[in-house]
Amino acid sequence: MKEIIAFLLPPATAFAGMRINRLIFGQKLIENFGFGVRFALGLAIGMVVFSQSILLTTLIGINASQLLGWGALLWGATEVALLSPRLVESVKQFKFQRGHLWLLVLLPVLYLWWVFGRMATVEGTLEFDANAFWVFKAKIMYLKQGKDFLNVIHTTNLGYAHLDYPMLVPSLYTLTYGVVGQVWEFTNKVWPFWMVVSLCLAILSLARVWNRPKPLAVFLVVLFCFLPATMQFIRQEGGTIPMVYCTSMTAIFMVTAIAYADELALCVGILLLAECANTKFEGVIFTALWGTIALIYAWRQGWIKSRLLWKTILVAAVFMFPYFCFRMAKPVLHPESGWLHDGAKSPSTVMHRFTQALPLNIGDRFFSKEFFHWQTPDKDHIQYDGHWTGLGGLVNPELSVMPWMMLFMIGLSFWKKHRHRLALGILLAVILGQLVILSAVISCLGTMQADAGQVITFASDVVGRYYYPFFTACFLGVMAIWFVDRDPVAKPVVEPAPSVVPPSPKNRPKNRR
Amino acid sequence: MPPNPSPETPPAKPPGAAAQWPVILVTVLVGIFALALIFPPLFSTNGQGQNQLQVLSKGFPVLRNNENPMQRDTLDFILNGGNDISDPRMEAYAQRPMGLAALSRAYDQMLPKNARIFLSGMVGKENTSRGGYYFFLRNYLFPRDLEISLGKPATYISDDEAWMDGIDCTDPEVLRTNGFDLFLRFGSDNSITPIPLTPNGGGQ
Repeated sequence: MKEIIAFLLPPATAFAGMRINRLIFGQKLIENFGFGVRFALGLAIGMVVFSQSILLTTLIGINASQLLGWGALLWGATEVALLSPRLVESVKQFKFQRGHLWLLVLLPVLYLWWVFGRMATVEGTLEFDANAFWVFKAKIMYLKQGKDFLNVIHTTNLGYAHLDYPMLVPSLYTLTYGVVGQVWEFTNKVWPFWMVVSLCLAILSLARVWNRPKPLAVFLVVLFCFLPATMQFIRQEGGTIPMVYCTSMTAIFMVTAIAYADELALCVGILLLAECANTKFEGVIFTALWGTIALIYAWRQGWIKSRLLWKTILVAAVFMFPYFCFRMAKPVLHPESGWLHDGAKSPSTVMHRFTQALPLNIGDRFFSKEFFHWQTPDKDHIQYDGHWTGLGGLVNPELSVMPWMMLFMIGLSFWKKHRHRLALGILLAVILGQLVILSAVISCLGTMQADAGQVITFASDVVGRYYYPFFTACFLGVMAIWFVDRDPVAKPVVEPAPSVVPPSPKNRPKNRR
Repeated sequence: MPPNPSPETPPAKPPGAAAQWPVILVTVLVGIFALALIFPPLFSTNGQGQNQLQVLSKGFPVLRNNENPMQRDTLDFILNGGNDISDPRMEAYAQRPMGLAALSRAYDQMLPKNARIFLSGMVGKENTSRGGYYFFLRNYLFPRDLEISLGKPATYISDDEAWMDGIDCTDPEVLRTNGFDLFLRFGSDNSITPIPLTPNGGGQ
């Protein structure tokens, strides 16, 4: 029974989140986006709201996991009851078209979900980092609150556990323990499972496959689900799939916002950034990059005085408040949190390592391990040590040929989608900025400065799970230009000026790209 | 003003296949890639003629029917080695903990919640690679007090390597007088030998 309850918790959170989103964005959200998108957005915001409530109550000294978990389940059930007449109505209006046969391609995906969905309720913690940090922190939050919790997070021998990290993922596990009634790690994987499902629903919904069925979005969902990295990390706990989920959703919405000059999509993207920042350190960087660009873009579009924009920013800031309080409590830091301090001590070594780390981190995502193989003769320089193994050398074990396809799509999109070049350019700038900053941070670490061999091993074995979310976000962001089914933006008609007097700022067309 | 089109001028062509070729190309490429990705998990088989998803699918009822966390983690450990745990012969293996998670759970099931435990062989740069044992045990034995340093709490340091700084101890008598209930002696072969120090730690 506890397996079923835990399995239903994420969709219940999503339905509750749909109501919260409606309160923030109003009726426009329903008018502009289909059910799949609203469900995915509901999950994103529901997760942030409930996880941050868990964190805040833990800091205050209350174990509210049971109350919040059951609250989410009941709220979700109520929302389903309220939504069901409309859902039944839309099912009745469904008209079969020949194009709907493309949906049969999703059968392997349904089988995959059937297998992973069931396994998500019975498998123990598989990932090393999850055992050491993510699941451990959830257990601490479930068992200790208030002063006891603060005592634990100040214990020096827990410095390895990244106690200073954002707490969305551990809080979600704590929420699950609340509804299950005990620390039961065997149901933690329901969260990454539902994140993958809802990201797929969002892609299908944005492409309007139910109304105007086309195969591209269907193939894209198959590709994403069967990507080796997705199949690996959907079964693992920790922050990888949550990062894939929130960065991909953000990328899709930001690209849509810029490509179609859509203020609502931009605000949704900004709200999703709150989830990115609450998930992982990489998400904080992603939030800073996208946040800056979103504000500049909003200013250029004349939306800077929009109430909706500032309401969204305010809500996003409130979502980050519990983590801010948590950091104010000064949890014991992981030594790697001092990367900036370590880097400032020897900038020349950092620069040298950076020129090695960046190409290794990126190159390792494009090629096989046999072909892209490096070694160090003196712990300072790196030498190529691989060999050509045929075309298989171009297939990455985690991302397959997705990076190559992404490069091709970027080129084709710049060539054939003239009107979306700004959106594409911004997306690429953010993703490249992210990859560069992450490589710079890695280069600053003491272990990396001491030995180039560590840089090689790290790039080959660890960086994959840091870069996979951003490669996926970039790929889906580029593909959004192709699969998002929107009516083209009507260009503002500018009447010929009757005189030489320039138009007043009030009458100036807002779409100034 | 553009000239009026003559009656002979053919009407402008609607955007047809020529304008759609990039969309078709993108769809075909993504489709080929997607279908190529489906094949390995669905059709590549192991020594017993089962694909990855079949192995997982057959493992599900075995895991579900086994409520004991230690045994379930052991079975999961075997399953993740690519083995079919629905094979009745595998059941015998599940009686003894396999894998670090199952081993840690075995101690969790054995010890009372107030037991104090000392794990040796974790501090110092020479023991960097053993950190994982401490991390796992710390997780599964929480909220019990698990120490790796005597007298003062260990500190996690990351300079040219990541390691634990502290004072090691391998003398059971000293540990007993310092209030520990169980001594987990870490061997050079990475084995862990439990030495009960008090009745609370499983001793007589």
